[in-house]
Amino acid sequence: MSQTVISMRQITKNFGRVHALSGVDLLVRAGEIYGFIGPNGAGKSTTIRILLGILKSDGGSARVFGKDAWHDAVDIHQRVSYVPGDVNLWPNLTGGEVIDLFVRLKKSGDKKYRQELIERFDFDPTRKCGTYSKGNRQKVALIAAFSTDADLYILDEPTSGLDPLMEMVFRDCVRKVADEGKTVFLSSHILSEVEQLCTKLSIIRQGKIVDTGSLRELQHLTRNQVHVEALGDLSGLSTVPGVHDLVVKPGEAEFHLDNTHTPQVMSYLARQGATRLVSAPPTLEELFMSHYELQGDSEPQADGELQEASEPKGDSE
Amino acid sequence: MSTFVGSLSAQWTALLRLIMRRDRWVLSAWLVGVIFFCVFFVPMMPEMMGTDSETLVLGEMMKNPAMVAMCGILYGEEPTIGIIYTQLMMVWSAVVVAVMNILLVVRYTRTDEDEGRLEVIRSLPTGRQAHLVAVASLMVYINGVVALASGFIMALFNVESIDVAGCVVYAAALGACGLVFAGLTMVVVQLVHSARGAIGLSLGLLGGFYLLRAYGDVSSETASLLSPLGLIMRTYPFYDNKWGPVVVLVAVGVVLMLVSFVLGARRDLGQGLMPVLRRARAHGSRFLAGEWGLTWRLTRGTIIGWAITIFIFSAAYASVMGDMESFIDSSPLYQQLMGIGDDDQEVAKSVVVMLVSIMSIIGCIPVLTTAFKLSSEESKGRLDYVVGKTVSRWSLFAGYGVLVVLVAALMQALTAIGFYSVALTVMDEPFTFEFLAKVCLNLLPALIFFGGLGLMIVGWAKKFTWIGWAYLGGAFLLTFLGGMLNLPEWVAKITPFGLLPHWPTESFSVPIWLGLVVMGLALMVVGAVGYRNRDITA
Repeated sequence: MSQTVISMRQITKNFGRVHALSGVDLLVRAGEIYGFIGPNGAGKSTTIRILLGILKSDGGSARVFGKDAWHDAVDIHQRVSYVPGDVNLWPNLTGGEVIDLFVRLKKSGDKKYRQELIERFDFDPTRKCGTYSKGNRQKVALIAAFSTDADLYILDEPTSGLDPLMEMVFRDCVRKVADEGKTVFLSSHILSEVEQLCTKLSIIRQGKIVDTGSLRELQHLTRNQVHVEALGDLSGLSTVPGVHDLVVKPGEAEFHLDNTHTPQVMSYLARQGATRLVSAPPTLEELFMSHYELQGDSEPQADGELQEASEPKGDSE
Repeated sequence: MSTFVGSLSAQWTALLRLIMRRDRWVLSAWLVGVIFFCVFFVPMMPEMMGTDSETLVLGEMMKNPAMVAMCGILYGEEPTIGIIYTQLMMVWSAVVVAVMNILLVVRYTRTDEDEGRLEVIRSLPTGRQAHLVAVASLMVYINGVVALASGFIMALFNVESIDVAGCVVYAAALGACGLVFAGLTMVVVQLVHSARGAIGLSLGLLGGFYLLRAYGDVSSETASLLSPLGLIMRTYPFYDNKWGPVVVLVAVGVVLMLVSFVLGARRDLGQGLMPVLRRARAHGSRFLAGEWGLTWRLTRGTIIGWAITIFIFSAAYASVMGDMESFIDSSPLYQQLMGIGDDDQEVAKSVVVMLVSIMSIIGCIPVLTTAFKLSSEESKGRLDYVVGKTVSRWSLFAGYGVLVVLVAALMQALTAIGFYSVALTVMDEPFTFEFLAKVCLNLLPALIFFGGLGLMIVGWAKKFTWIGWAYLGGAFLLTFLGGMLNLPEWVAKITPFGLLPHWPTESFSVPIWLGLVVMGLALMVVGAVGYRNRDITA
């Protein structure tokens, strides 16, 4: 079993009367690309700031590389690279100056690789930061993060301002560090990105982790989208357990299937003379949505709208 | 545990270098400007004073309670050039030094925090308190430079009675006072929730300390000792040269900085220690409709804050009018100097005109701030949302024009009301409200002119807003000190405050009054033309 890089146990954090986090558990092992997803205001950035020792938790323990996230922040940060979602820089320094500053504060870095990254991200380091667009400011943080030597990369929605081409460069960078055995903790709204990159993921909602596992494990727990064509009548499907959202048309049907009831459904379909069967696992997006439609704790959210917890100002997700 | 404490300030020198690197021009400009303000009047003193007997006469004038409230005490058995210089300039120099300290501390602490820049710094292997340690050492350095340079330069002028020992203690007191306000601001930064709040509260405290000193210098020595601005004068430069107050101020400054480290460790990034008082509105009120409503919503906090400030300052200045009356009664020399003989009311009126002039210049600050809000919104990129909607730039600009004129009128009205309400209770023969209203109304065109100038700058080149502030600073100095210098007449007239005859000591001039109003409004129109044709840029 590989080494534990991040371990959070029962972390709570309150801002005044607002419960931003109520008992977050995370376990990230070396070499994983760990996805961290959740709606706006769920507590993603708060969790990351606690990991970085920027915020102090109100309860629980947060350890990175086996060290306390708050007390040993400086030590931990020697081995961590962080890219915030909203990068703000000093308007009158150039991008190149800021990259060098960040690298120097880390006291480790690869000049040659920095140059290579600047070229690959198609970035002009000679302009003042005040003139950069959001995407370009993000490139500053990404180049600085990837050109320093780190064992853990914490990325908080790092691609929200990048164009698709630059997103590809970013994914290459992530895969490269993962190949080197480094750990990546990626918070993102772009689910396709998480789907493609991450080996494991956690979903956070209203300050709690509601699901954790590999994508396949998560998919198993939920329903597959099934399309079936048959010779016989399919209207009887409505009585079969595990069938949801059934739409029956002459000779065909579409429904969601609870994976636990696959055998019953299959035997029914066989009796009806199924000729064609297409079953697709839920995309991460469907998975994500299902958490808000099915697990609407105390307040049911029929329309599936994402809950916007009120977090204090300055804590942008 | 010791490694934990050590790691709190890890790499603070790197952060200090970052500040020095990124703001080398800003810091240099502040230093040059502040040091200039602290020393520029020294070489003019001998010319102003002329002979020894003139020094005595000026000394008698400086003893009047209005002067004491405005500037500070006159100490020593008999006035010398050095003592009169200290009374005239020390408190105001300390105010300028304090403002620099407040703005710089907020700039390097809370502004970086609000903008999210501190978060990146914290994610790097830097200590949690490293930026505070860096800012504290920067402020020690800056105030040290102010003290050393201004003391050295003052001594270089080699003016009679302004000796080296006095210069050293005078300049050291200024630097020490700056350190107190740096420490105070560092504490305030931990309490409030934003950079704007930190600047507002710190400047408010500075204003409070100024008033405490004004009250103390006129009627209570203890009150003055509690204010850093009062304490600095208790070094009695060029007379006793006492170092005690300097030591106390430095100690207070250092303690405040240490307190800010402790408080800073007790709060989360982006939060303040004071509870949040806010009414969370889910919907915009009826007033928040259209660009004019937005303008009002964005500026009202500042305007209300300044309205209260202007009222309190006017009332405070008016409170010396009672002392003024008895002073005039007891000083035949002063009556003679003012050339009015036995009409007390005339003397009092001339004092009121001087005080209202100063208040009107202070009233220009909210006027300019309101005008420049349009450009600061633009620089922050928030104007894009407004002009991106179906809002004509003409209407947006016109809204600011109307608001600027209203702010000017409001500030003058509050000056009149503030003076009247207190003068009524302290004077034997109080002024009528009509008289005070006329004195304030007489100077209103100057405020409108500054509003027009501000908007014209915004309309054509928002980079040059500093010109507006520099011109206002010049107007303050000319009004405050110009009368004492033998300047050519045209020099005084280059500001609207010098151009307007000061009724009732001078006769009211309809053409100049109307001319300035028209000029102010014309400048706004010129600004609007420029604003409609230029780029909106961040």
